[in-house]
Amino acid sequence: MEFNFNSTEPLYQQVAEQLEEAIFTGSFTEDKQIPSTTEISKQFHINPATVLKGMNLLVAKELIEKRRGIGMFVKVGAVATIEQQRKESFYADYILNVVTEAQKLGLTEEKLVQLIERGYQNGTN
Amino acid sequence: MLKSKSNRLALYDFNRSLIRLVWTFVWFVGITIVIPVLFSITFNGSTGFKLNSTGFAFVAGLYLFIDALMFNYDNFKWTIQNGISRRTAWWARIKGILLLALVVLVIDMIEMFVKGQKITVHSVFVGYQNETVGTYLIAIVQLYMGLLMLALAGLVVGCFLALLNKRGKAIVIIGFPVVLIVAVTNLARALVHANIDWTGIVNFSKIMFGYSDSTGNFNPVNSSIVMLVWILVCGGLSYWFSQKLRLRRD
Amino acid sequence: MAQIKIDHVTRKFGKNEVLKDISFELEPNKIYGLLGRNGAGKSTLLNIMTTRIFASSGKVTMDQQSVVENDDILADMFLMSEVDLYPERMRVEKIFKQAELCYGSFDYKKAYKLAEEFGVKLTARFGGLSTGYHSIVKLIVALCVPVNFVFFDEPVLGLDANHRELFYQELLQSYEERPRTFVISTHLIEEIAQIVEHVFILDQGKIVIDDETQAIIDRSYAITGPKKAVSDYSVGLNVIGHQTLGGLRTDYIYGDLDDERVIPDTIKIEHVDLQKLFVYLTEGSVNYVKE
Repeated sequence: MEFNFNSTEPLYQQVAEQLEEAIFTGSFTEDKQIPSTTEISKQFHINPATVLKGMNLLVAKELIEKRRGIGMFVKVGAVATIEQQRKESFYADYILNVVTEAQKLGLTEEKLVQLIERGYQNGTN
Repeated sequence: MLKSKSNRLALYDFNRSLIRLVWTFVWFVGITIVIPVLFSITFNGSTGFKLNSTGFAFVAGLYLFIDALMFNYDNFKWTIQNGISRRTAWWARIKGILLLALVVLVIDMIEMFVKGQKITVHSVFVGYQNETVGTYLIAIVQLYMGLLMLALAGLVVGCFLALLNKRGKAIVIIGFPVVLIVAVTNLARALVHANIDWTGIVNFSKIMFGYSDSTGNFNPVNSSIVMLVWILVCGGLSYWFSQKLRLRRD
Repeated sequence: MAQIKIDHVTRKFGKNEVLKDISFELEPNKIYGLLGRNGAGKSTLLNIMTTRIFASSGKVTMDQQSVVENDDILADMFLMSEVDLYPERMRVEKIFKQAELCYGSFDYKKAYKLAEEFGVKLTARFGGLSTGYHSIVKLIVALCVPVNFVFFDEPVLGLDANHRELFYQELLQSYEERPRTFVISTHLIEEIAQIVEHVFILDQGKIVIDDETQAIIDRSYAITGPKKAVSDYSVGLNVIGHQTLGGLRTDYIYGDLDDERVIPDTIKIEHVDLQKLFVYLTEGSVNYVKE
């Protein structure tokens, strides 16, 4: 995990995103415990309250759950949930931005589609 | 809480003072006994050791004064670092002094006993010298109070000096004796030339010491009161000074 | 839970007013940052809070009781100061004992563990240690005394990068084990920016900022773009500093932006980190970078 402290995003959101990314990429597996607030707080020198706030965002998104007296666990099905959520926000997060930028550059819809096709052909995976 | 804390501190203070007192004695013995004895053995072949020439009581009394005078600022530093109020630190110091004076009192009495001196030598209470338990008791109490007067005088001076920075301390330590000498010489010169009626002062002194013209006896109560007043005034002054203690930047 | 209140505290040294009417509160179980340039009055303030010196006016209270000469309150605070108040000849283990004597208890287990981690010899005399190790010994005591308010004045003075890292870790560990209030006064803002939950910025004897760290960052902006566009946009906003690079200009703003204003395409708005904000707020100086 890496935190960009100069980012315009609040730190607790960064914490949430980094944890989510780790779950999505399989670094933290489903039904397994994730590092405690203390561990994260100590390692990255982040106030525990901030870490907790970040974790609570993930609890609200139903990606992790608190197990009394033990700690936070990745929910079963979390990866699927993330995928679902990301697909939902893909349009707003990426497509709209691409289109806006394309319009600024004077690219036609046809040209943009071509570019996307090229991207698929050159793509590593 | 306050009480137990000041007791703990008092014992800590007392222990440290006691250790220093022992070291003082080690030095004292070394300088006044061991070295002269070694010398006389070397040169005369005899020990030439006389117990009467030792002065543990004197050294202990002097130590009491110096111990109370020194370390006041150092004490303040570590007590305030450890969350002790000035009042508690002062009260612990007083209790430590009461204990240390008691030790010195015992040393005094042991020395007198060893030397075969009578304790009533210290007492000038004519008419009370019939060596009853009472006279002994009064003499011991007065000796203890005398030691406390010494220690508390040291504490007042020490607490006052603790308020000064290095420069202020230097000025006082050098300046005060100079001023005192000049003042005393001038006063003496003035007294020699002036024609003063001493009866008032004499009478006042008589009251202070409880002297009775009719019997020629001293009443120990009067002098005890005077000593007590001295102790209380010194205690009060040292408290007042210690309340003003603050961390210096030197 | 106990709360410390600093109430209109002023301190003068001769004619020089070092603290001017300072008021703020310390809540339980929070990590605070007290930031200020050299001579801003940080140490003076902490010294007054722990009654090492006295305020010229105003007062410091815990639950409505003055801290002055109050043993119970004093026993609930520990100030790890830049100046060393321990006797030179005292051994480290004796310093721990003294702390136990005065505070009534002491976490020896933790102290020994920390001493080992930092490489402090318990039998070493305090006066024989270097500046860095003076700091370390004082830090260990600060983390092991049973108080609810711990104040650090330049805690990492003389510590190398490894020891600083270790200190921040141990601080957070200790905080998690036993939540209490910490106030960290330091120059090294970047190192504590993510640790502190709330920040006080002291400038020339006055508190200029008293807010949650995130809220402060949320309210600080860097507006970058062509000179004219930036100047036009930031008119009337609280500009605390600016930088120019040729025709490019950055205005640093602390405070709310005007939502009514249209943001031109040519300018970019970002948040500023604590360190930069601090520099501009306390310096008020303007940096011109010539081409």
